[in-house]
Amino acid sequence: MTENYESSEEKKSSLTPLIIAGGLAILFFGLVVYIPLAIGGAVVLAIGVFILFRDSVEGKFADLKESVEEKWPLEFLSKRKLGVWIFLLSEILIFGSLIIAYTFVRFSSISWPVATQVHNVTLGMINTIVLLTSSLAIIFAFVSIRMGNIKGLKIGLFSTFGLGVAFLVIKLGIEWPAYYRNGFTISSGLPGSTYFVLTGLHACHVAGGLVAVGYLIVRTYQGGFTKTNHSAVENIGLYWHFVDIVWMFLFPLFYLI
Amino acid sequence: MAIAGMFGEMMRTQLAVPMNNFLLANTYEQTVTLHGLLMILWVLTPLGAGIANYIVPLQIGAKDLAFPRMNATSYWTYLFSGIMLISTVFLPGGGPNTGWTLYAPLNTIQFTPQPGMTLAVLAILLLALSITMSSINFLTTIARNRAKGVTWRRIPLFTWSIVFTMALALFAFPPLAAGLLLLSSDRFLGTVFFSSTQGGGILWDELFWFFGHPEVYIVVFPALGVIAEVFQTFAKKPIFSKNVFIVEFAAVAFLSMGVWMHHMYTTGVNYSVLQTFSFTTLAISVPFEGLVLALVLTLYKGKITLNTAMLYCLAAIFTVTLGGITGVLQAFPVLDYAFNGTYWIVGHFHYVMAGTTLFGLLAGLYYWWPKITKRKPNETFGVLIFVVAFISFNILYFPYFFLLGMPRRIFTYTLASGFASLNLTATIGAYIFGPAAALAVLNLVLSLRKPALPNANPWSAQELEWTQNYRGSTATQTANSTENVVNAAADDPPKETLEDRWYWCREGNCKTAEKPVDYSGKNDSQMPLRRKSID
Repeated sequence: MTENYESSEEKKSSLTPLIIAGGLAILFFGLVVYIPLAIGGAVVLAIGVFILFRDSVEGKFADLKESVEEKWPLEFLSKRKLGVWIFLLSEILIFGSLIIAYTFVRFSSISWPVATQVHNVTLGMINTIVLLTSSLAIIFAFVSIRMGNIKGLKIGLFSTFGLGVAFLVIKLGIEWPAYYRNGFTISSGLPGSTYFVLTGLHACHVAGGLVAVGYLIVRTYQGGFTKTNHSAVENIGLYWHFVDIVWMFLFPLFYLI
Repeated sequence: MAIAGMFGEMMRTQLAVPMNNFLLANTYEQTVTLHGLLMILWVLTPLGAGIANYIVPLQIGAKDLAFPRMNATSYWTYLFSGIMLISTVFLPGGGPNTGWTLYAPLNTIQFTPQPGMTLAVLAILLLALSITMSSINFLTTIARNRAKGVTWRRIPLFTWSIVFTMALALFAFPPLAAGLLLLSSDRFLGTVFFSSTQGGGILWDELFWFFGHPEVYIVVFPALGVIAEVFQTFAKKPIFSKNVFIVEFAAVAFLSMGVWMHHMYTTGVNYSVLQTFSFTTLAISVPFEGLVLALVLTLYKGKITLNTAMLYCLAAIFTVTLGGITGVLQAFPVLDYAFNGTYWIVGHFHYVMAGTTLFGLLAGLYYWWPKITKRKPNETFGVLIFVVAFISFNILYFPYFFLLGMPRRIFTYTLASGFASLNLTATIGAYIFGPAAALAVLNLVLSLRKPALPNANPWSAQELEWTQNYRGSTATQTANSTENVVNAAADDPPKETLEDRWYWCREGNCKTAEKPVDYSGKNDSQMPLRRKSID
């Protein structure tokens, strides 16, 4: 498609997509065939993501300049934000399918353990509050940068990051080992399988969100955000809220009913 | 960008599948599985996206897709996942041998312990990721990157078909990914989703077919879009009622998400569910037949040029009609119980998916080849190959409709069953059809050696990707887009917006080109049978 590019600046293609896709493929291949290979793949993937972030921090993402645009009815959405929304839609479908699968197996099971006897509701409640507060923190960061307040942005991002880490520590460090000691494990039957897979996938999303928030922090220190230029804060904020909302579904479904 | 590599990979993938009947049972099972997976997920699904990658930006006047890097990532992920799937054959224990549906509990580690199966699951997961990226990209591009004047009503039909394809892919692939996640956690982490009786086969069926049925339309929509474009150009008529056509697309897309249970009639679902899905399945055939009917009526009283692209489209209409009719019969649970798991089903979906999509997209390649390469493939050779391909296609798949008693996926049968002669006929057809399809592509490749065409719009097509330039002033164009130079020199059309140029031409100012056909739909009387064809 090179003929569609007119200026030389737009013509150069990046190796990053190849590295990321290759890393993913090696990771998956290694998981099945030879575990050390998977570690190599993870390293390649990390390098790819790192280059992507570095390029982004250095502002190397030159958007193609589309001269005239017909935007109706989406004039109010930027291109990236629209992309994020569509991505979130696909995420909703993944979690939606998983939650429906959970409901399905739960309804077809004759007996299901009482939630409060298996799960630690107190820790779950604490985690809920932690995650909700982190959403508030990222909103604080966004509102601050919209007013041009870099200090507020930093405070907001650091609290988001800290609360996200706290969530993972409580979940993976305290809650899960206790379940394993009680014999409620991933392979102990459908209640365990559904719980660990759904909350595990959610924890992966939190971890991914942490990487993204880390990127925001680095970029803030590089002076990457100004009063007018801060779309990344908003977009990653959207993702963070989404992860939060998923937990709002998972918490009652597993801990309360 | 990577379009040539993409097609090359697709063809290679396609050819990697042996159609051999002289295999051991297990090898045959692997072959069936890999043929299904590769053809449906790695060839038919991305082939339309590959063509769209080139054509959609041209049709809507964008320079590229909205997120070029994501596009490249999507492509490489697609490529590597394909390599992963094919490499499963070389692992100890071989590749997946469950059929492309990977039914539970056959897909659990208890019944398919080989690592190849696990790798295949991860490969499909990676492909789902790739396709999700690509659908995000296309939807954003079409919603946000249209050139001025390309309003929603002005968007060409191929791009419309891609809108619905990608929207469907966005809804269909995540449930599949969710199912695959559960499956891989079963295989890696020892969860019990598909080996337990409470989850098990039905859970997988629901997740898989909620993806599986929209997938059929993901495969067929781009082909219908191509047919619409080709018919408009070579019948010199606008599509029969464009607005209704698009609404029918939307209706099919919407309904396709409510029919998945018809793949599960025989799983013991209760009677009211059976009735509901029988009804939705019949309902979806109405807008779908509407689409086909609109295409056929486009030809009515048109000035038809029969060339290779047009012939492939007509063949696709033939196969989609035959495949569609045989499909509707199965909407009735009673008949479905009889047909379930026979070669009738195999014949039905090969007519719809293989016939329509391959012929339709081949037509697309022939039609847009001059646009992409500035060269025209050899017409006589093309038509000749078409005739051979079409006849052999029918020799290959038509006998399946008579093989009513033959269960699918069996690796051999006895002479007493009486299947032999029909199977032999089908095999002969396959031996002719394979090389014919390859030659059709070879014809395209060979045309690259010809000198470039003087006229970049050899079909006198009126759709936006041929007539519009979008990129700044036309006078500065180089030989890359000859048509614009020609038009600009001869007519000096208003260059400001597409809208301007459109109406300027309609007022009769075009001297060099034929009068443009109004594809906008604004002047549709909705009674096109009475409307004169525009010449």
